[in-house]
Amino acid sequence: MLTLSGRVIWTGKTTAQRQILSLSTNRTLAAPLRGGKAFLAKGSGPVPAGFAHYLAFNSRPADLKEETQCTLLGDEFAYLDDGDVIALSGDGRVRSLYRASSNHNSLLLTEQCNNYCLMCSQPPKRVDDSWLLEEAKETVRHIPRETRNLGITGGEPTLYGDGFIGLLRHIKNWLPHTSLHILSNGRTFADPQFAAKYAAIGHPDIMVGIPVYSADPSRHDYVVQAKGAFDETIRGILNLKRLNQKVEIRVVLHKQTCEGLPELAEYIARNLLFVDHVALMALEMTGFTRANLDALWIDPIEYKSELSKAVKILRSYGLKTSVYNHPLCLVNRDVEPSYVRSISDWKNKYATECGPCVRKADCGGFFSSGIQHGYSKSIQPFLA
Amino acid sequence: MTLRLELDPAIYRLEAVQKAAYRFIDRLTILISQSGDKLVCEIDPVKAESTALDDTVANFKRELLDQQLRLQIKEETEPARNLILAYAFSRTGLQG
Amino acid sequence: MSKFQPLESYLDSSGKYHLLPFRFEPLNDEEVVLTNAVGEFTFLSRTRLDDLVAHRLKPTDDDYISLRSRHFIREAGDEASLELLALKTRTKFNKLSNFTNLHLFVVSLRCDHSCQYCQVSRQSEDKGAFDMTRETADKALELVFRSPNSAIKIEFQGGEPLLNFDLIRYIVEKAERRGFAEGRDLEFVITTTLALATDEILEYCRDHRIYLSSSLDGPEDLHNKNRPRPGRDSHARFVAGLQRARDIVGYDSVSALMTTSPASLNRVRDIIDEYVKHGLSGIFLRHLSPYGFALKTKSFQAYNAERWLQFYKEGLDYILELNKAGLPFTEYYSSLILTKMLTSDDPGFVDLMNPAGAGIAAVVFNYDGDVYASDESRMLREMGDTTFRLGNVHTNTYEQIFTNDALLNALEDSFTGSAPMCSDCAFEPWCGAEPVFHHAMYGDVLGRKPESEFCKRMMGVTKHLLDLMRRDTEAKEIFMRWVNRC
Repeated sequence: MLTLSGRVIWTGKTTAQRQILSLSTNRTLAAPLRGGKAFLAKGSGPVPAGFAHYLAFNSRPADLKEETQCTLLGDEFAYLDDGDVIALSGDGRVRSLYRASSNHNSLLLTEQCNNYCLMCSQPPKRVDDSWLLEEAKETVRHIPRETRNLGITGGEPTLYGDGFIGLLRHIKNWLPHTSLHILSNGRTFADPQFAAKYAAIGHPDIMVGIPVYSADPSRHDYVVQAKGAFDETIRGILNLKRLNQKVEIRVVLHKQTCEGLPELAEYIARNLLFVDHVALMALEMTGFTRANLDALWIDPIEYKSELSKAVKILRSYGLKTSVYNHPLCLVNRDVEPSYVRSISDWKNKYATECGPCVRKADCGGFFSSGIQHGYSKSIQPFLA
Repeated sequence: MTLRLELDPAIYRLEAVQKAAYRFIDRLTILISQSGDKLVCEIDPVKAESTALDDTVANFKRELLDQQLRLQIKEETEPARNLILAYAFSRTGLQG
Repeated sequence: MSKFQPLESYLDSSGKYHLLPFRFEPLNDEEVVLTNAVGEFTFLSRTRLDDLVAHRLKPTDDDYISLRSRHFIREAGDEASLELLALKTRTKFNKLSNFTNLHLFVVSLRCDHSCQYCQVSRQSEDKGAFDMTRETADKALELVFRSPNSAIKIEFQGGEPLLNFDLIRYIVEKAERRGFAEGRDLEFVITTTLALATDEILEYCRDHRIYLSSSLDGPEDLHNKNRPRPGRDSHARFVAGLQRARDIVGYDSVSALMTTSPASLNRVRDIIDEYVKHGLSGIFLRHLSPYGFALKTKSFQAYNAERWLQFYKEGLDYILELNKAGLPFTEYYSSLILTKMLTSDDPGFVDLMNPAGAGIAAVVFNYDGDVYASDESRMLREMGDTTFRLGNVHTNTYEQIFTNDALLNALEDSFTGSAPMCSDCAFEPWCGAEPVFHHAMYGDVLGRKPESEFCKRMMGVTKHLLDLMRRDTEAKEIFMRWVNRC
């Protein structure tokens, strides 16, 4: 599991206020470009002059001039590389905002949310973190233009209202060829005017991923801990679809959602047949999940027939369906056409039972949070 | 011998009785009149088949109910029916 | 961190719920099936139904949860269910305004077969008397392109249409030019026995993407008994034609329809086996049409809804067996009804539509230029009944034909939503108005549904499908695949 945020090795020299830096490891980078980037000293070789800032691991490079600003990082940040974007704060904190080698970059816009899901992996905080929106805007200016995908997450990103719309326009302007995937509870889109503003952006490749946890409004409201959430979410989806916007429905599978999964699949097939994708995902042992373990935890092997039924229904109706984040040995074979090897690379690991397994290459593995905090007792390596 | 059927006009409207009588015009001759507050049907067979007559008259009584219901339901459902038929013809250019 | 609320906090505490529009029908003494405003269904025991209507159901009941998510009840604040019902209703009726899609051209009454149940064909060499002329075809095409539908299907019928193949060529090419200019989506079909399909004809079909709809009544003995021709080789010719059509036009370019006769009733498995043997992807288990043969010989009685339902159930059971054993094979009649039960789509099948498909979905141009509201209407004419003749292409305009009282009255009077019994029937969203059938059988377009063979048949089939879906999950899964074939 990668360390995405931490502290620099304090050098005693005060650094500037919070800044966002685009990293380069290119010793022969064209001179005019160096002023806008930070040089990351990796491997051996002379340190090129002319960069706005310098970063090095553990100790200051010998050939760096005395007065040149340099931040020192520990080995936990050795993954940083060319094209990455980081934030350095005035008080010594460093955060990785974008990694060029990853396919799963996301911009966190806020930790505020109007839902309060039992299994939230990014527990809401009631603090004014609107500076994150500004930071996102600045980060976008540093992200390489050839980036294929970018996620927008939170909390609930749409809480910014017009600010959210503004950011999307900004991203469309700076990264016109980047595919956008927004995670949202969809409730703000129940306001037809907001949905219209969103559609008016006219982004060529954008999708909203919206969780629907049950066909039973009360059960959904319980899972997200907000009365009336289901109704708003569905109306939000309808508004988006009326405006021809791409929508993905996401379902996290746990004790509160697995029993009703086939019924939910039928509900989607009868009412929301026009959605672009349905994503069925395993539970992450992080955030609020551990606080609600009794209500949530169920060994995935116990719901594998509900999962099979649901996938069968969705596929029969021609809905594009994907099953994410489940170890391959915990699902029935009939689910495999929809199975995706999917855990974000920075969260992925395997268990010791997996040693002899011959199908590791097909398997999504585990969340490292799962390895740490508990996972299925039914893991069985494929031996043939 | 002419069979006489007395009907309560609160239950069977004249139009329904006429339509039912018409459906049986090949088998029954039915003279409809009013007597006091009742509708009266005087029924004779077209051909003298006394054995089948009971069946035919029983059938006629059922037809009365059918026609009465048709009238009621047709009226009640007129708006919805017109809406759907209008929608069906909406792009033909045939609407006035 | 705020506290998490239990499930109970999200349940309605007032105990009040509202009924959304629904109807019900008993399945047996204990159970009923409910259908909502758009034809979605759910099963309930009679006692629960009473509880439901008396507002005694509790939010913790399984039935309550299911009824709410399937749009049979709603709570105050459930706005999405209303929006969804409206959306589904619009989807259901969506294709109505496209108006006429299917245009049948009877290009000749002449035929080389003399099938027992056919009422139209003529054994004759006299082309002048029984073939459609170019002038008639021209006029008919004018009317075809008056349809607002962007998808136009032209189906050549007869007799044996291949006996007037020159005219088919003429019509296809003229229609293609016009269709292309207007940006319409054209589809051509020839209904033919294939007995007279030469390589040249098949190549033309290949080049113009014409589908072939043929007849296969069952194994050789049954098929030839039903469909005599000189040489007694109808079946053999079909098989040979099928192979050649697949070789030249394409495997999926040929389909087959069966006609059910009294002789078929005991042979359903044999008939299905015959279809499987020839690699056909499904079968349409048809009822016997009451026109011609049946009415003439009065053997329709021997062949009532009850007997046919036995035939159908046996056939469907066998087909499900085949599917479960791994052979994808569809029963098309069931598929039509199932499409309405399991999706918000309308399959657009002329005989199972409300408002009736006559005129709105299909129209027939007879060889002599007469225009009929449906294929059955044309057959009625052969028996002397011209009730549904809407006009003639040479003497009447599009307006006169499509606003002919014969058509409009039939559409209005047979409307199922206005019919006694139909308007209360739980299965009405899945059924259709059949004005021509009821007129032929009972003398008026509506009939008395309790006495109607059509109604008996439909109710029998529907209850059987519901029963299957209720007790056999695999059957339901198979049905879902049938109806969602894109």
